[in-house]
Amino acid sequence: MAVFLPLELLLIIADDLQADGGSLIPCMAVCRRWRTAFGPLLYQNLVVTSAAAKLPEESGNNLRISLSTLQRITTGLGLAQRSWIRTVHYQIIVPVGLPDWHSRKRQGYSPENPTRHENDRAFQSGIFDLFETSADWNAGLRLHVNLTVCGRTEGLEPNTWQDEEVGLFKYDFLNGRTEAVPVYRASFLEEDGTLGRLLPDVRCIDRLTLPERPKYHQIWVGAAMRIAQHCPTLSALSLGLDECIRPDHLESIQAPISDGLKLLPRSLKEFSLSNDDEKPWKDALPALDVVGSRPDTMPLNRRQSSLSLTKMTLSSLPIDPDFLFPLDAQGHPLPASEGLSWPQLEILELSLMPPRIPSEQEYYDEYEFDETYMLCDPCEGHMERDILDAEHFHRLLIALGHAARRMPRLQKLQYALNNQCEFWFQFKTKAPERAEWTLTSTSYQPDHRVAEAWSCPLSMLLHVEVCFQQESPCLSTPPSLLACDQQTEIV
Amino acid sequence: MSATMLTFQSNDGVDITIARDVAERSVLIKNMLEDLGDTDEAIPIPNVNEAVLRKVIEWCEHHKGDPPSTGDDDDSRRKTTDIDEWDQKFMQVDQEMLFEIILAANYLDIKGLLDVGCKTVANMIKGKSPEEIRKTFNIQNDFTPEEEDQIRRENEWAEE
Repeated sequence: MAVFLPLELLLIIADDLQADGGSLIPCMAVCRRWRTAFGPLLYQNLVVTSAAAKLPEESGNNLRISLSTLQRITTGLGLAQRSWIRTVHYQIIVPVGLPDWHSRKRQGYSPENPTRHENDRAFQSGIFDLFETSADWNAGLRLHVNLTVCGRTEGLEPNTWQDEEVGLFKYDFLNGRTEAVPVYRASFLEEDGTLGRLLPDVRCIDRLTLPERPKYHQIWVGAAMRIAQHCPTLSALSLGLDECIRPDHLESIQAPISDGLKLLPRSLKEFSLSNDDEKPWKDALPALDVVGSRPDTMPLNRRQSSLSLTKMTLSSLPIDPDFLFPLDAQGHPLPASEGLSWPQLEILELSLMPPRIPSEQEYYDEYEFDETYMLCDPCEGHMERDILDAEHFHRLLIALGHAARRMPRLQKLQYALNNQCEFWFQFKTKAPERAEWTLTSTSYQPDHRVAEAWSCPLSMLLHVEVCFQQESPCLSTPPSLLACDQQTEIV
Repeated sequence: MSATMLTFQSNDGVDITIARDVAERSVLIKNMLEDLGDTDEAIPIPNVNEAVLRKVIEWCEHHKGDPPSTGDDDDSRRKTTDIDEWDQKFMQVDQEMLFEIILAANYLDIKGLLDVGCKTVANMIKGKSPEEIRKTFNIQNDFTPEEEDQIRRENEWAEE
C-alpha cells in the first residue's frame, strides 16, 4: 500500500478511520510514511488533562492524554510532533466538581472553605504545569488553547445540601443571594512567586478561548485575564463570562475585566467578550455593568489595547452609548476623545446589546419595593427596560460616527440592540470609494449631530429611515439602503 | 445536441463505449466534455488500464441515478465507514485492484467511488495492531530502534 497510495489518499483513509471511532495510534507505528500521514490528524486536536483522570465527559474523536504524557512524547525524538498540534483543549482537573446552581446553603456556610481552596490549588497547579511545559515551545507553532475546569468527581461544599431546584434562585432577586450557594469559579490562590513558582510567559499560544459551550469553563475572569497576560504573542482572545450574572456577582467580575483589559498583550488582534443573556428578571433592573463601561473608565478605548486590534466582538454587554468615544452632555466629543484611534480595526460587532442608560436615570419607577417578587416570577409577566428617549440613540450613533472616522481600515461596524424597541445599525464599506449606512428602527430618527459625526447630509440619513419604514419595517436582515458617497472621507 | 454515447481508451489501448450520463459521474470527464464539446474520437484515459476502467464504469453505471455530490453532503457521508451491500460486494477484489480503483477514482474525480474505496481500506485497518497492518498491506517496518522506543512510549496513551 505504501507503494500505491499517495499521502493525500492516506489522509482521507485516516479521516474515515477516525470518524468511525477507529484508533489512529496503531497506524502511527506501521512505518515512517504512515506516521507522516496519520500523525497530523491524530495530534491536531488534543484533549489534555492536567492530571491523569477518568472523566465522564466524552472527548469525541480527539485523543485525551495527560499533560505529563504530552510532555514525554513531544520531547527528544518527538520534538517534531509539536508542529502537528493545532488545538489543545486543556482540562484542568480539580478534586471536586461543583456544578452551578445545584446546592443550597446551611448555617455556617462560607465560600472561603477547604473544598474551594483545594480546587483553586489544583487549578493553579494545572495552569502553572501547562505554562512550564510549553514555555520553551516555539512561537511559530501558533497553538489554539481552550481552557476548562473539570471536577474529578461531583460533590458538595461544607455546610451545603444538594437541591436540584436551587437553579430557580439565579432569577430570584430576594432569596437568590441568601439561599443559593454562589457559583464556583476557579482562581489563583496566591500572587506570582508566593508559592515558589512564577507563571512563565508562553509564546506558542496564538489563540486563547474560554468557551461557554458545550459546558461552562468555570474559570474566574480575573484568572483568565492573568493567563492571557502571560501569552505575549497572543493574537486572539475569546472570553465568555460564563454565568447568569446576578447583581451580587458584579463586584467579582467588573474590576478584573476592567483592569485586565488594560494589560492584555499588544499582539492581540481579535478580542471577543460575551456575557450571558439577562433573562428574565434582570430587564426590570438596571443593566449590570460587567465591563465598567462608563466612558471615563472604559478600557477598550485606551490606546494600548486598541492600537493593534483588527476585530472586536462584544455580545450581550450593557455599555454606555458613547463608550468608544466619550462625549459631553450635549453630545460633543470630549477633548480627551480626540486622540483616540483604532488604526488596524476592520470589524466591530456589538450584538445582542441590552439597553444601558446613564446611571443617574431610573429604569423601573413603576415597581415598588414590595413588588420585587414580580421581578423574578415569570408568571407575573415579562418586563423590559424602557428606552427613555431618543438621546440614548443619538449619543450612540454620534460616538460610533466619530470612532468610525478614526478607523481607517474599517470594513464593518454593527450594533444590534436586544430589546422590544427595534434598533439595528450597520456601516459597511463596499469598495474603496463607497459605503453603506443602514439603520432599522421603528421610531428613531437621527438628528443633525449624528449627520455631522458621520460627515453625511442629514437629509440623506432621514431619507434612508423613511424609505425603509415604508418598504419593509419588519425585515430582520435589512437590505442595502444607500451607497453613500459622502462617506468616502470616513473610510 | 450532445452525443449519448462516448468512447474512452484505456492506457493499454482498449476502447470502451459507454453512455454519456454514466461517464459524467466523473467530474474530470464532465468538465473535459464541457470544454471540448462533442467528439466522435476515443478519449484517452492515460492513467487507467482496461480492467480497472471496466470496474470503474461498472460502479458508475450502478450509481448513475445518484444525486450529484456536494461538499456538505460529502462531509456527512464521511462520518461513518458504513458501506452499502452492493458496494461491499463490488469492493471484494484483490488488494492491488482495490488500490488501483481508488487511484482511478481520485484521478477521474469520482467522489462517491473514492469514498467507498477509502472506507474499505479504513475497515481493513480498524482493530488491527501495527504488525497486523504491515502484514495486511505488505509494508516494511523502516523505523530505527530509537524511533521504535519513542513509538512504544506513545502507545502508553492507550493505557491512560
